[in-house]
Amino acid sequence: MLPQQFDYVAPVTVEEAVQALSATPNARFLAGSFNLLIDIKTRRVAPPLLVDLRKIPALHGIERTASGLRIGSMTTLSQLLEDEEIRGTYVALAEALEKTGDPQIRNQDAIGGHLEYASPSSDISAALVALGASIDVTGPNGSRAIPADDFFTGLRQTALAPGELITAVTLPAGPARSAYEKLKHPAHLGAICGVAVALWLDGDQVARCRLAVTGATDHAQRLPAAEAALTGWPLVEPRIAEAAAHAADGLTGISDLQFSADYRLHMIGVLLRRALVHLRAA
Amino acid sequence: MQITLIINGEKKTLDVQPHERLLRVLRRAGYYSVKFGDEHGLTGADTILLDGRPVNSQTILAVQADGHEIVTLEGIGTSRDLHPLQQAFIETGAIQSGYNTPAQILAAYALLQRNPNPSEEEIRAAIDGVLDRETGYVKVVQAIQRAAAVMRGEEVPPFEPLQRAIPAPPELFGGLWDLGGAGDDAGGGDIQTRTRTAPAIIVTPPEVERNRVVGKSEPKVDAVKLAAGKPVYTDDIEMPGMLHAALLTSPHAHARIRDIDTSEAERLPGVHAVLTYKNVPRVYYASGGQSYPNPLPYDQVSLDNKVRHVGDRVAVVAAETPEIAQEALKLIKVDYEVLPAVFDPVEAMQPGAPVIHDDPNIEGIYDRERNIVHHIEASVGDAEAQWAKADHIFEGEYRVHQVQQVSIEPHVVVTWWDEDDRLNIRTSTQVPFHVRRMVAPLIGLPVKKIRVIKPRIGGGFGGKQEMLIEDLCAHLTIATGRPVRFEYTREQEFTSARSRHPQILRYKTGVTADGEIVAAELHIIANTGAYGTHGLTVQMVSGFRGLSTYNAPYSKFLCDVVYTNIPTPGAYRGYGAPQALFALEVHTEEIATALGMDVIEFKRKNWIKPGEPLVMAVALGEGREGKPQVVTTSALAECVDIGARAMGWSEKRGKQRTVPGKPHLRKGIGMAVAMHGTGIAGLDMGAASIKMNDDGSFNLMFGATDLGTGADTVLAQIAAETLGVPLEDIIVYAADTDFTPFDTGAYASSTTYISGGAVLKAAESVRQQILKHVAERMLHCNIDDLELEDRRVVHRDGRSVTLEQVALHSLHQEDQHQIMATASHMSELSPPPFAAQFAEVTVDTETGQVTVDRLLMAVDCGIAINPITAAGQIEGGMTQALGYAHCEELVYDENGTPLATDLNRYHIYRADEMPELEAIFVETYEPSGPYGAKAVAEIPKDGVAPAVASAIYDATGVRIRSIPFTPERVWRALRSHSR
Repeated sequence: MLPQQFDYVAPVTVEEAVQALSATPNARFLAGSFNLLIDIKTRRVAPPLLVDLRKIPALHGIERTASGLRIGSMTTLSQLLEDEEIRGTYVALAEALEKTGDPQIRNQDAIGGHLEYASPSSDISAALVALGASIDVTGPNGSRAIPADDFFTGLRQTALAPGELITAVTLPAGPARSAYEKLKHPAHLGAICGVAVALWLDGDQVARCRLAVTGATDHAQRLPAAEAALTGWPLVEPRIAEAAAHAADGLTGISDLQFSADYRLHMIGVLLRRALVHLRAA
Repeated sequence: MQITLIINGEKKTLDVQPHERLLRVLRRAGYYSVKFGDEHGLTGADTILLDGRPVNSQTILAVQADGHEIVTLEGIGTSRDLHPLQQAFIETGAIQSGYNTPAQILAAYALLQRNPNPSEEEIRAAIDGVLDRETGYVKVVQAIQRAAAVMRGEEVPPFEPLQRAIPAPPELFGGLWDLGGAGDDAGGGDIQTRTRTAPAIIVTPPEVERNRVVGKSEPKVDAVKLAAGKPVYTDDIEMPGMLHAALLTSPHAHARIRDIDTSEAERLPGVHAVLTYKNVPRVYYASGGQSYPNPLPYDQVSLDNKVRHVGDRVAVVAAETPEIAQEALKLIKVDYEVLPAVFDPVEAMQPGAPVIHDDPNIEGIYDRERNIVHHIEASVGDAEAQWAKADHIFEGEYRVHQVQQVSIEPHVVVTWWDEDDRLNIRTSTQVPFHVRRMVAPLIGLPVKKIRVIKPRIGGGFGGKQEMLIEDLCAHLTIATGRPVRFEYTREQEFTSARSRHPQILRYKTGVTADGEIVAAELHIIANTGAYGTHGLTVQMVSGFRGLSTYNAPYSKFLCDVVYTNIPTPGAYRGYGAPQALFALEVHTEEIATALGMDVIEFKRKNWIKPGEPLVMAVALGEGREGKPQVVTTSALAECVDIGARAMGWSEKRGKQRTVPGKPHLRKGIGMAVAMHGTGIAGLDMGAASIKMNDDGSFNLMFGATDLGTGADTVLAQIAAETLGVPLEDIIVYAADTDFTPFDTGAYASSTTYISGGAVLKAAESVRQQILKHVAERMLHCNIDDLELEDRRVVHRDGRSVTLEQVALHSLHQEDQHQIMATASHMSELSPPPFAAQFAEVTVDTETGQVTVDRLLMAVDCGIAINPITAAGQIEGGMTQALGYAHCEELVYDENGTPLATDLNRYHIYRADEMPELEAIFVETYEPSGPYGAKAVAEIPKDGVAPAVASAIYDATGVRIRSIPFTPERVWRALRSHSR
């Protein structure tokens, strides 16, 4: 068989999928990201077998649970964007989804495949980190939940172990307010820099906050210095300025030929300030 | 394996392989409206509806669609039963090449299914995933709004584009110029229509009043078949036994090939030929599609033992399937001796730089050791005397970068031997006759053994003014005896096709105290990449355009065209002018500012006026001595006045405008003027044949190549006007080297003017033949008493015969003969079109992001033969030019490996990112053009970048002398300015 050719199976349960994958060396899950098919077409990878997850009913749909929301990994980005609760409660995620791809991509791409690909300029990953999501995975050694904070580990690297597939994304109860601000890369639809903010307020005090960056760093991650600058204080100008000034502390930026690491890191503070000012006014 | 799909309501069981993408399976099943645009599906040309939702058929496996419902354009409407969307796309002029029309209609169809009354914003979001390189989305949005209204059952008046104002009503010049364009908003949504379909037209000359077909916004003659998604493009044929070609390209920027071992590739089952430098004759040529003799040097061969850029040709394979061909490429073992490479033209000229063309057999390289392929020096006037008059001397350096044409249809060709053992080449080209002549020596066949067919083209923009891949495909058919199909990948479009020349431009300008430009020098260092194709002529145009608008009595052009190891630039719509006019217009504005003069007044004082000769015309022809030129017609002053009023220039310029509540935003307005050419004087030639049929209709055959521009329609309008028939009586066939007369091809903004001139002459001749036959054989009268109108020959005494009667009489009854004529046209003139280009921007001072809010172009293109297609040229051209100014950029790593090799990393404007676009025609009647026409195709590329630069300066006080205006570049400029 030629490398660009492969076999295809479409199991209907997660267990069958895990089994099918482990039975064939170098097999890959077709988890709903168009990127894998492109990587095959451009000969970056040559899996002998694709295990399509699309036909597994358990991986589809959005479910309300006692603690929040459970999103099946094969739910498409369009389906997420159409969900009233996501639009109303998880605003940062809805804003990130709106800014992701184009209609065809959103109709085709599933959230599981999107996360597995771990693009450094993914809007959604920052929103999920800020919203405190966790990623449910199942593999040959059983199931586990990985906090979004720990899921993205490096440039296109995730905490997924070999043979594991993403089954769901779970979101805890929504924060009081959240937002996603993005500086769009003029050469693609991804983020030069994107900042997601989730705030839990106690009166006008910031009781808790989770801030996350994407695009400027090689993977989506929290902004601990800025979080510390806001927590326990009212959302007022000196604190916002303080948070923005320290937003990039301790981070290593990435660069390409159009955007330097310096610039991207500087933009974290600019976008963080905008998100906070926006949320204060909301 | 078998899958079962419901396609357009019909249950279909298809045999597929697991790895096959849905796109291929659908096309194989005959659904040719679904197109290949790129491997990523990012052009959206491959859009289908899967269970009612638009998805990319290129990035979904056929097996994944098993059991699902699919809709393609064929399921929405046919040419005999058009859907309202198809009808509206035709009426509003939303179709140019039509390559992406099926995808746009499907995306709109899906939207209207769930939202019958969408806002403009919702429409733009819905078609966001279908890239359009041609229309600027203006008329596409209009078409969808119109169709939505029809589908809602609303009373929709027949489509009538804005009527001409003849002559211009005085109030148009009095500040009451409302260009809000809200009148066409059929969507009724949350924002007003930002675009208008029909251009505003102000006619200065009265001649156009008499016309019945010319000057009217006729639907394009090819619009119905394109709206129906019929198989009209190069790749839309399946031939028995057809093989698939694949090209092995160089991973190194500069290397010698010590050896190639193809034995393993040849042994792979299904491989029919592997060609390398070892088994293809070494014939030197230059690939640019230009007139004979093509400018030197001939520095290319079909396959060489040296590679000069990443993406350069190494070997080509023909195999039973695309997969086998790709696999064969991997089995070819190439032994490279990697050589030092150089990418910067200044470095390439230094002693000791790697010599890129060391083959001593190549003639015409100016300085081989220093990689200087051409050195151009031209000057006019008395330098010493003119510098002496200058009270001020201004100098400035400007840089422009490399961008790609990105036609949505890649380069694609199919070759085969026909029953007479002649080689047929069906190719997506702008220059079928040049291809035939140029490919002949490379493949060792005489011209008479070659037939080149140009079907519909999915966009070209200069990228297909090349004999780019036809030679390789032909070699493969000759080697295998089989039909061969060869299509570039999107990556190869970026690495192995053509692009716009990057340049460094230095101006030195002498100005008197009262603001008169008396001396100008322009020095350009141009990077022509690995090969010299178009390198001489593009740069000569840069010099000519860069020194013509202000026409200084002493003008000097100095230029070094330099080889480097980047992929080769070539022809790209604008052809040297966008580079030069960015520098010229920014430089001129800097001078005005330094002198404390109003920018427009300074330019007006200096720009070339009617009756004045172009000083550099003779010195800077295109590859040969030019022809003397005088400006015969110019409405530049009116264009600037009208444009300025429409934009509110005097209320906005210099007012340091801000946005309430957004202290980081600044608003600015800018302008530039532009002057282009109309064909290449004394060089371009077009020919046309017209033949009368039994029913009084006419076949019109010409070699001119409509690549989506509407040229077929415009030329048919010229014939119809002259012959007194409606457009539907003209049957167009073009272009085919066996059946149509010669034409140099679609470039240099020449088709309407040059090929249109040929059509006019042929039609005049046919008209005379008709009148003569009627006068002598039918009405027995004086020929001068006859006129052609409304499909009749009418005598002034009221008698008449129909054209059908004339045809039947002349073919069958008396003095039988075929009424027919062929005519050629060339011109010693290249009357310049003129334009004023305006831009409004918002600059985010914290991020450096520039948002272009509005672009308006007032243009004098002579008489617009078809105002809607002409407006389409303006809107699409401005959009491409905006990409040049703002976001498009070919970038390389330190080894010269291109990084922008897909549409994820090379951004072209999407429907929801567009500024408002407006075109205003200020017409003049150019006496040398057919029905008064000049050119319109390229001038919209010229003024956008400098107008945006001018607007950024107005917003921020910062002058940026290089493009594109990407956020970090602007941010850094703002930061260094504020320090």
